[in-house]
Amino acid sequence: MRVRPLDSKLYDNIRSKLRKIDKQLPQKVLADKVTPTTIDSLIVLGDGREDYVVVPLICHHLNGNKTAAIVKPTFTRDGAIQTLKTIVKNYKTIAFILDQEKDELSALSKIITMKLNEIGVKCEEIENSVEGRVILYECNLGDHRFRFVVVVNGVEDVGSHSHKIEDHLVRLAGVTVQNDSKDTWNELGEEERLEVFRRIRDDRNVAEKVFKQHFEGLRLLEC
Amino acid sequence: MIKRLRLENFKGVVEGEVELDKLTILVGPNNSGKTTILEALFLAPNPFRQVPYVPETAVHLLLEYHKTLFEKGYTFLLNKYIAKNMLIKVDERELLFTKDPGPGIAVYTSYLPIGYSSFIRRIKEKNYIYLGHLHPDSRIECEPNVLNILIADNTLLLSTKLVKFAHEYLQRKWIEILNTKVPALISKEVSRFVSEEYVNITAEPFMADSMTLYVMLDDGTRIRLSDLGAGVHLYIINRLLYEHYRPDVVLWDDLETHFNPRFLSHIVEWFADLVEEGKQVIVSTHSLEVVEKIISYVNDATVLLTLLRDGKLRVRKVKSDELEEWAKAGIDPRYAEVFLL
Repeated sequence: MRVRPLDSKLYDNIRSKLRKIDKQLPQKVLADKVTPTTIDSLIVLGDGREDYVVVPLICHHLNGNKTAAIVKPTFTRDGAIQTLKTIVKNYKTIAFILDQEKDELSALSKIITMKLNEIGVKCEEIENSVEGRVILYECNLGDHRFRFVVVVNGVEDVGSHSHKIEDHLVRLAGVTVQNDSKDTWNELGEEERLEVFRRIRDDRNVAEKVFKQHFEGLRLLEC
Repeated sequence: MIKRLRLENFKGVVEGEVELDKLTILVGPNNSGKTTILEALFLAPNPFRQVPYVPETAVHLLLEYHKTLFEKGYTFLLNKYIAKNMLIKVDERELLFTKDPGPGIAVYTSYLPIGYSSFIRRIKEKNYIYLGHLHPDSRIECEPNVLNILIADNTLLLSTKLVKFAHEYLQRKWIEILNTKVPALISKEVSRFVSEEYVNITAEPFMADSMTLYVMLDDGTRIRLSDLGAGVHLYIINRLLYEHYRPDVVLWDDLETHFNPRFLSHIVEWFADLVEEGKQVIVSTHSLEVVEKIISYVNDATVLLTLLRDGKLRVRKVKSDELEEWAKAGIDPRYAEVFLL
């Protein structure tokens, strides 16, 4: 699956980061062609930075014919939901990826449904998998029906007091977290971090084990 | 004011229509029809009229502008170079280009200007008045009285690519511009955005050769316009053209090219003044910064998102609050045009 960023800042963020991993990667991962094709899936990033690399890389392992639009709203985490009202009508499936941070997964799920309700979206939970880190909702906004897939970043047993995408990255890097996975990740050198990204690119099996909820959730965009 | 433009088989557009406002901003990807719209509007008042460039005929200027090496003829105006008829319709007035019977392209209008008479031909059950002929060898043929007629509000196309064609015209006409206050006023305006202090614009020989345009600094030094920064050069030329020609409608292609944001604000302010004077301004841009700037100066400016799909021109009018909402959602219409149209 290719991704098509819908904003210049996100486009340049993804492109420049992918280029550091491999100069050919941006062409393989990004859908640049203007030719109008039907794009019915959207990925909404609640949080940024490393998600800009990880999510497109995982998409790259999925269905090669599909293209999903990708956005990073100005508000972070669950706050991003408030910006979706104007755009949901263009999509059949929306994946929303956010950090767990210190919230309980069940509490986070409630916050998300509340935020969806606030923008007039009625939703019903259909599936809950990967220990509550992938939640699939059937939603309605007016007469538009769509599926909303929540993917929660974080690995329970990585030893970080706040869970985020870096939990997965430090696990792949094979380093021990002292306190916060983000700090541990940032302490690595740039080349070490790039090597982790290259592993995600090269070894689908390993990536699928470490980013289980992402593969599971993003796969739902393929339907 | 030109309110509506319809195109059929004009350049890359098989079919399309746009509604225009006092200030219209065309935004879209490359090859989405923005420049085509501006060129059609440039031809619409009368392709045979004189414009402030060399070559001085509107349609001939477009030929030179699109020409590569030694090509001849006007088939570039026709969709895929093979369409038999091409139509530019401004409000209710049509300009029809037809290869039938050939060779070359005959140009007709559905509107009979006062004091003009010519033969009438019935095409597709409609009467058209003959204006002139575009020959395959690039010659243009029309009656002298055609030169002065206007089928629509008079337009002026401004673009980086046209600057070289403007230089020769301005040098030829310098005697008409010389003693107006315009060169000194433009020099002063431009001085606000550069480190030097310009006091005037002059036309003088360069190295004992042909005439050249210069800006004159406060210490009397002259700098050729073409040796200035590209933005300053472009603005001075475009402003001189406007002041000399005084069109009803200004068409500016790729507005963001070469300008620092502060200078751009000045240009946008000028547009706001033009609109207040009752003129119409239509610009194309790839820059959202330009769009936001224009909207901040002219609240009721219209933003049109354009896209060409299988030759069909698709246009969406975008409201300023929609732009704000999209920005919050992380959507830039230049990246998301496919979804928004």
